[in-house]
Amino acid sequence: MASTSNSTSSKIITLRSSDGEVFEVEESVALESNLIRRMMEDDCANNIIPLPNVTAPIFYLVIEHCKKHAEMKDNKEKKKELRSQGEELLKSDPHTYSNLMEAVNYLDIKSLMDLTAQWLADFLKGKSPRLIRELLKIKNDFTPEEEAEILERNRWAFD
Amino acid sequence: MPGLVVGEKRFTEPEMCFSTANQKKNPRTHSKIASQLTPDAQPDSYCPILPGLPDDVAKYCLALVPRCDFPIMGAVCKQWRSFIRNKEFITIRKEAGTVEEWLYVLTGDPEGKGSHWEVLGCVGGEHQLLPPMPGPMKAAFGVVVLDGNLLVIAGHSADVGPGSVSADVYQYESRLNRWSMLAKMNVARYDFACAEVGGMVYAVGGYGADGENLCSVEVYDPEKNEWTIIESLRRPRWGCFACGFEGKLYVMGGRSSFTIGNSRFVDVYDPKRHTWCEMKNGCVMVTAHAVLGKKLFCMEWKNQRKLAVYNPTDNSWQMVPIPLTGSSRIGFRFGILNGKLLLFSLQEEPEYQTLLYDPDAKPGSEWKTSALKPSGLCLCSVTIKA
Repeated sequence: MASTSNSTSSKIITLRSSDGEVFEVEESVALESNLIRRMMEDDCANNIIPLPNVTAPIFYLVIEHCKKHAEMKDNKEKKKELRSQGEELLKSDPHTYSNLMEAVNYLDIKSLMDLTAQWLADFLKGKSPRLIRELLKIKNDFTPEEEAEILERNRWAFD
Repeated sequence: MPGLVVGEKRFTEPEMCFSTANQKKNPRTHSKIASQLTPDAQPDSYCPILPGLPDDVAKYCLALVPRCDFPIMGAVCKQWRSFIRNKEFITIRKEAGTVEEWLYVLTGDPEGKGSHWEVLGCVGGEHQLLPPMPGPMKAAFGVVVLDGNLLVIAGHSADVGPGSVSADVYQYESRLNRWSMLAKMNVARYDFACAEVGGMVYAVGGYGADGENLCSVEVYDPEKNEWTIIESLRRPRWGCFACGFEGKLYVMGGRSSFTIGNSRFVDVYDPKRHTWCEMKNGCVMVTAHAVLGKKLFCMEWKNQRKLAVYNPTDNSWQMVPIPLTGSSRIGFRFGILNGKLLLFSLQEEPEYQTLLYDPDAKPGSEWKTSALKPSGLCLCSVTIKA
């Protein structure tokens, strides 16, 4: 997925976020996005590529993580570090997390999709249903009876 | 294919955790994850799995959570529960490579006073127990795994004996850790053969309510929750077992009318043609059996120091000696975990270490020991992937 070795004379791709900001990105980084790859294959390689679904602050985050991801390719320690950053972001700024994930999904970046999805999965791990609902603002639609029954059956899991 | 759809970003509740992006009008603008999957919720009641995320992204996230957390996720809300129960959940986990294999062992309590199901092989969970099976304690029932659920089929009451034959079927939903009841069978039976073939469960022969020998066969369709009687065996058969290979049902072992002693015949059912045929080279008096890969592993009563391995592709048997000395009468129960065969002793021997047979290992190193051991005697076991 990541850049090929001939990145010495890397081409620069110009992209424009939904709020009008213009980004210049190395081709190797931009091509992490399958959406951009497809658009370039189509024709608009010489023009500014519009990204109507991504705002500038989120696009910054995406590029930053693309770069980090490329760096840590064979580095287990860094991989771990990157994986553990999700918990922090989800706790402190879930709104940004969800925007980031939507952008990653829209731009179709496989490596970042795996990473951000793993963040959420790790975040859910070991939390009680009540806490999950509270943190993710999910409505509890079980009756108190149903809930008591689930709790009783899974006491080992909810301690 | 993601188009250039302008997704208006309107965050009506900025303090909310996840944004309420405009996904009701445009629930899918992406194609890479599980694009064949369609949201099953009705448009009127549409409510995202995770507020602010497209459903297929949310589903992918949930499918990455470790298996031991499924019951917790199933307790968050009804939509999560229904997603986790759904076959689609397993499909996404397979694609993501996160499927975990657990071994469920029905373990005898000390002094034969009952039994309980426990889980072996799950990470960090030492002998995790299942909630008790509903209904009266039973014997001579059948067990089958279907869509990640364990089915406990028919049998008779352990206390009352064969006079109380049942047609009840219970299902353990492994992902939600709960029991429920399925449709009853048409014919109450015990000591019969059962197996899953092509997403359906077949129950063959056994003894009936009056102790008569049965040739009747029925099939369970999970989509309809319905048992249907199909073509009978040519003659009654009981005490037998079954397995599925290449879309066909194989029934072996046990006894049948018109044969003296034990039946060496193999009855083979082809669900596509709705016909039975028979072969002559089955094994007899089978004390343990399990399907591993594309082969059937059996242990025959006459020699419990050998595995009899059946290969359905060329209809051949191969013998594999078990590297264990001592009385050959001490038998085993089989378990399958991660492509290996486990041999649990049927005798309480504290020094016995579970033997492990790896059919794919280099010649000479197929046999090892395993730390996995049920807390009591293994009565039967099933492997469930989820």
